[in-house]
Amino acid sequence: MSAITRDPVHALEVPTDNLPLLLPSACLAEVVALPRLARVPHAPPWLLGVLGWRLRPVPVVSYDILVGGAGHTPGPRARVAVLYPLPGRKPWEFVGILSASEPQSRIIDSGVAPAAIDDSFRYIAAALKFDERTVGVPDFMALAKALYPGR
Amino acid sequence: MAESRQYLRVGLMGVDYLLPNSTSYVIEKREHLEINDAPGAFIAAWQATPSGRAPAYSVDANLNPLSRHAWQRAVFFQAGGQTLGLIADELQLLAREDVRVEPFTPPGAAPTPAGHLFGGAWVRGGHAPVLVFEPGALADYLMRLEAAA
Repeated sequence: MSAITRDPVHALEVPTDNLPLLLPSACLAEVVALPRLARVPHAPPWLLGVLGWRLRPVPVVSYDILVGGAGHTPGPRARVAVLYPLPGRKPWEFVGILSASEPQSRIIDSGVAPAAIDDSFRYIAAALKFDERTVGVPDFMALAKALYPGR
Repeated sequence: MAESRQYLRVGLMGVDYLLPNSTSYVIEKREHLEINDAPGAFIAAWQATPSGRAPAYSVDANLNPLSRHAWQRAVFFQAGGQTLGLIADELQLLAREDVRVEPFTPPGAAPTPAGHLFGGAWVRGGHAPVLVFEPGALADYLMRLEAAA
C-alpha cells in the first residue's frame, strides 16, 4: 500500500458513530455547538433540523443516519461542522454535518496511508489510516446528489 | 420564494411557522365557522364561500392530522385556485421590516408533487429558525392528507 506524498493538507476529523469523517479545512466554514434546531416536518430522518448560523438557515445532517445507521440523540458534546455549499449548490446553501464531539485537527501528509473500507460506507471518496484508526474523506459530489435528489 | 410584504406567524402546538402574504389570507373566529363535530375529524370546520365551503384542517406541530375541539381561530389562504384553512393556536401579523427571511429549501425529496413545504426561514439570534410555508405545497399536502384519511 503506497503512502500519500502530496503537500500536507489541513483537515478536521469529525467523530461519528460509524466511520469518522475527514473534512479538508478548505471545505469548512465553522464548527459550532449544537443549538436548538428547527424541526422540518416530513423531512428524511437524516435531516436533523435547521440551524440558525450567522442569520442563515443551515440544514444539519446526520451522516450516520444517511448511510443507514440508527443514529442517536446528540449529547452535550455534539458539534456541527458547517460546510461551504456542496458542488453545484447555490451560494447560500451551507450544510451542517453532525459531529458526536469536538472535531480534531489533522494533517494529511506523507505519513498517512490509504485504507480499504467496506462498501457500506457510502458517499466516501477515499479512506485513510491515522495511527490505527480509519477515517473517510467524503465524496462531496455524491453527497450533494444524495442530499438534493433531482435538483 | 416570492417576495412578501408581510408574514403571518402561525403557531401550531408550540411551534411557529410563517405564511407569506404572496397568497391572500383571512383570519376567521371559530364562531363564524361551521364546526365539524364528527369524532376524529381532520377537518375541524368549514368556512362558507360564494362557491360552497372551504375546509379548515387541524394539524399538530409536525403537520400531522390532529383531531381537537379546543381551538378559537383559523387562517384561510388561497393557493392554486383553492381556499383552505388551517386551525392555529396563535396568529400574529408581522411586518416585512420585522422579519428577515432567507431562502431555504430543505434537503431531501419534496414531500408533495407541488414541491417542498417550505421555501424560506427566518433566523434570529438565540432562537431556532422559523420555517416559511410554500402556500401551494402546503395546500397540496393538506388536500392529500384529506384524500388519504
